[in-house]
Amino acid sequence: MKIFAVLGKRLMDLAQTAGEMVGLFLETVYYFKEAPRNIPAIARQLSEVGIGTLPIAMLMALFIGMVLALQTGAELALYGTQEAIGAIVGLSMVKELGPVMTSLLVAGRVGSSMAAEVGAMEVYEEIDALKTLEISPVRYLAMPRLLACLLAVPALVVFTMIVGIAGGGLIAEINPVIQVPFSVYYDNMIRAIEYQDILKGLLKATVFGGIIAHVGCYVGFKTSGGARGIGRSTTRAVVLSFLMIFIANYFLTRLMM
Amino acid sequence: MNDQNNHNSDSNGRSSGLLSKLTHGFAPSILHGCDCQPGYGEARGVSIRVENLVKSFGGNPVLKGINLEIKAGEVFSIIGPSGTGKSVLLKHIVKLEKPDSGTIYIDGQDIFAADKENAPRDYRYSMVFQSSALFNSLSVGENVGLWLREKRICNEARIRRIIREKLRLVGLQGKEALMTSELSGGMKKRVAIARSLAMNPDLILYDEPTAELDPVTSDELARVILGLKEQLNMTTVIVSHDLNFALYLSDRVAMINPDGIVEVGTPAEIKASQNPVVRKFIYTTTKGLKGDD
Repeated sequence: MKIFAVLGKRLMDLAQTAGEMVGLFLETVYYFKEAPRNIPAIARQLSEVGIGTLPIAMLMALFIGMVLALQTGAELALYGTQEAIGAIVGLSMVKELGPVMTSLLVAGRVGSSMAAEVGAMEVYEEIDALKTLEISPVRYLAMPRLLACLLAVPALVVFTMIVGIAGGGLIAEINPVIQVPFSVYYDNMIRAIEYQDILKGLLKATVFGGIIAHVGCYVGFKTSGGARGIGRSTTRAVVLSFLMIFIANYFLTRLMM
Repeated sequence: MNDQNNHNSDSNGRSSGLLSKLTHGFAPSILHGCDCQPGYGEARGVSIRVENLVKSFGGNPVLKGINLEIKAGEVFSIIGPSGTGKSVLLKHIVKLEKPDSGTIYIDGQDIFAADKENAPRDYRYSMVFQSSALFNSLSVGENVGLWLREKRICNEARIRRIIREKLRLVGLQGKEALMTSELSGGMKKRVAIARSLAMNPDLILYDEPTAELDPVTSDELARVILGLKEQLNMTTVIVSHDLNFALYLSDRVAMINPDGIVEVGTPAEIKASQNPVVRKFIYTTTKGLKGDD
């Protein structure tokens, strides 16, 4: 009987968490109407999420594109079909690796910092102070972060797509086993990628951006227990964001097929 | 204030009744020809009545039927040992907690009544937290002016003047540009007070203001609070376990223990009290000083 009680409690907790997350999301979206008078806060977050992540995202994309070309190019060369490498690297970067890997990077870099920052504010009574100043913590903290992630993550993905494809092209050109000229690589890629593929990739990135900000803020608001609690929240935000990105990625891919 | 503003205001410079509620936090000052919103004038003290307040956390009772009356404009301290629910009581007054039963009346209005749940307040309150709760990403001046800017109470030039004035009141003139990480514990407390004062509150609450402060800094803080009492007309509620601090600056003091309020009186009455709980608290907090006698 005890196992059912524990299971029941877990399910109740899960339902409560889901309900709270939906509630927070709706409240955050409601405050989008206040965005014009919060432009400085949104710009700060855009800078943190976008410009702050851009160099590392581009470096990551470069090496992802390079390793993708290296692995697939070598295999394709065995069958003499290495000219298809442009299509493979391009489609992979645009449809999957660009949005997913960039979002994972942002979740690790920015989502964790959002959870830690909001969590510290919760622990050190700053959220309570906002409430006594009649300032909505959701409007002041969550809305600029969500809006910034919704805008910045797709923008980052555009860069990672381009840099990843360029990295793949570089390896295709210079690797002695593959040896596909960049013009061939480029033509092959252009023929394979449609505008819809790019739009689908950016739509995924937008959803993932929303997940990262929302999870970071939700976990931050639920933080308790001092420095240890802040540490736990940071880890929780990253793990939860990763999981939700993978799950959302499957369903989005399935929906857009 | 100009004539137009006076027309809609009571003798304290506050707009009254329905107009006050409608304009609270929303009315742009430009419509009223003044550089601040109507209602942002002098503070008026509010009265507080706590009735049978009960609160438990996870089945653990913290407040067991608290009854208390605080008069408008007085400095009222709630003293007692740690873990007796002093801060929880304070959080109920500013609606950061909801009671299991019982209620609180401010100026005769039940603040937990269903129709008051999300209604705009016709009084202003502010709280100075134990940890100061300053926003680390903002400078001292930005912390003090946060409410004014967020609520668009005044134009920017007036906000800057108010920030300077409130910092001067707490003895921190010219410190607007400092970041909170550059401040000492006592300075942080004073910035938190200045931030609260920027609202021109009718009610200001202090949660353990002397916690983590040395006796000299505590004394400076007491003098700041006493100075504010003389200059501003507001109700002040202080929660503290610092008996000396509370007796020094309060008009009245309430002693709380895990069973509830055990005594309320003026500092002289508290010092002369024969209640064993009060005697024990006074004895334990002063026995070190008496040891040399």
